[in-house]
Amino acid sequence: MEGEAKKIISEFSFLSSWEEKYEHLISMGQEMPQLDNSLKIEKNLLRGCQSKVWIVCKYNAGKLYFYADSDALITRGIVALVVRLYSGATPQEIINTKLNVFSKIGLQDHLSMNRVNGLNIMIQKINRHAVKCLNDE
Amino acid sequence: MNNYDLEKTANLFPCLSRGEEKMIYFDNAATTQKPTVVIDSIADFYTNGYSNIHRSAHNLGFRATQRYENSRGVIRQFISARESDEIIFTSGATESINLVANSFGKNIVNKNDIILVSEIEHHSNMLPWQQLAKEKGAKVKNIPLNKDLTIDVESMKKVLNDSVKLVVVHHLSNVTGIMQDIKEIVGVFQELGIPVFVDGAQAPAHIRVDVKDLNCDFYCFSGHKAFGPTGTGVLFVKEEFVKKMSPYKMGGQMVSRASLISPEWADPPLKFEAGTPNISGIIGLSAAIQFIEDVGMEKITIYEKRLTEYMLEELSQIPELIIYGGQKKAAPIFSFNVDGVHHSDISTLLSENNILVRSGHLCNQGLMNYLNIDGCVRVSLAFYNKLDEIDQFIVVLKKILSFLNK
Repeated sequence: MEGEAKKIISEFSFLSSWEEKYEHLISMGQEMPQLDNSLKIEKNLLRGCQSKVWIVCKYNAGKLYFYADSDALITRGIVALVVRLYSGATPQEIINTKLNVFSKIGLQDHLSMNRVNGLNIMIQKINRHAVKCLNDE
Repeated sequence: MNNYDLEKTANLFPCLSRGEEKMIYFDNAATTQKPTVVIDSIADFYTNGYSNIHRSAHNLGFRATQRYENSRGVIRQFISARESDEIIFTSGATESINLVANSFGKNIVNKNDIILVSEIEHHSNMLPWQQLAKEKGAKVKNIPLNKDLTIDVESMKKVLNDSVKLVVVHHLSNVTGIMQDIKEIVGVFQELGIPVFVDGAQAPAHIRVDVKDLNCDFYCFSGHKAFGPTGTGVLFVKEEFVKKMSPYKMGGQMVSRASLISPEWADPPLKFEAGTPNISGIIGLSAAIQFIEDVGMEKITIYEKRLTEYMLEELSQIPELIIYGGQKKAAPIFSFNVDGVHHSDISTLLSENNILVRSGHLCNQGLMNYLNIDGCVRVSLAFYNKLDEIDQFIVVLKKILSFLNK
């Protein structure tokens, strides 16, 4: 996780204007495989007031894998970033690691402070999956 | 512009011009900024005259009570109510609505009765009525609408029957800035003796509210949307109804004789203001209202009309843009979508450019369903906003749209 976080921070460090940063974020979203429509269901939907976000979690051989989508371009980019960060980590790693990637790439103000559909809710959801996996074991 | 001094007025709002960072505040329908006089009045109360009210028999207490009760007088005058006793202070429009639903609605709505509510109300003016109907086994029914999102009075007359016990409408839409013809609506129901409740949350920042002229039975608004502090609200109740209401919040200062068996309630409005109220907030609200009167409501309305026309003209240059609710706005509130672009992407990038707007369902899912959309961008102005801010907004919006459409 921390390796991926460093990589993301380094990618963004070359970008200075909002256009460049968002362009990168959006293209990250576009590169992420789309979630199949059959998975874009109520159960996987994060409750939010701005745009729709679906997150699906698979637990395999001690690691968690996340698949996600959104109907908005920028949100899709954010989810893609979150998936890059957390997918493939063990539940313990997810619970123990506090990442501050967003403040380091200069997008924190605008992306994470959103009341409902923010980054925090996505990360909470991922943490809940991690806790559940540990409890189920 | 009949001597409306925009620069001078805008400079009285410190948060609009803080530091080096330039910001365009177009989120006034969510909440308005506060002028220095409001901030100072609150500080002055805590610094020079702080006490509890209505109970403490000392000079400080008398003076504080006087300031609080004077505020009631200021509000009465502002909305042209007949009596100060018709003004109940609350924590906001939300509490005002819940108060009426509980203190009045519960007394008059019974099983199988109907509460008529327009389907495009803000959640605050929908959920308390749905809850009331649920508790009483009553029904909430929609009021029919015209294409321009005004209430279709003629069709409304056709759905009227003896079961209708209460009518609930908004004055000025938080999504479209379109005004309902309250006078006409009240006219229809008054003949039948059916009370009309009006949610005026958006109105006092933009238009003259005259409850005597509107002739509605209930009217409410929030202080924070009219340049006053958060946690303040007003509920106007016509005298004849205020007597028919029973308190729903119990506590200090609302009884004239407290007894475990049968307490005697204080006279209205105090019997609806149990507990120590938001004294400093109400004093701040009164300062805000006096500020509006000093600027001049008529000047505000005229200036905002120009803002509205200019914004509509500029927005019409963007062909893919769909604006909701048409052109006949009573306040500079504009909600729109751009074909093929998500509203949240637009508001995120506007914010990145220090233009503050709101996007989403705007706490009005009823209207979103009615329009068959899942959200929109809302740009809402106040009398301190400037024409050149509209120019800058349009430049940035076009830039964002070409960026997102790349």
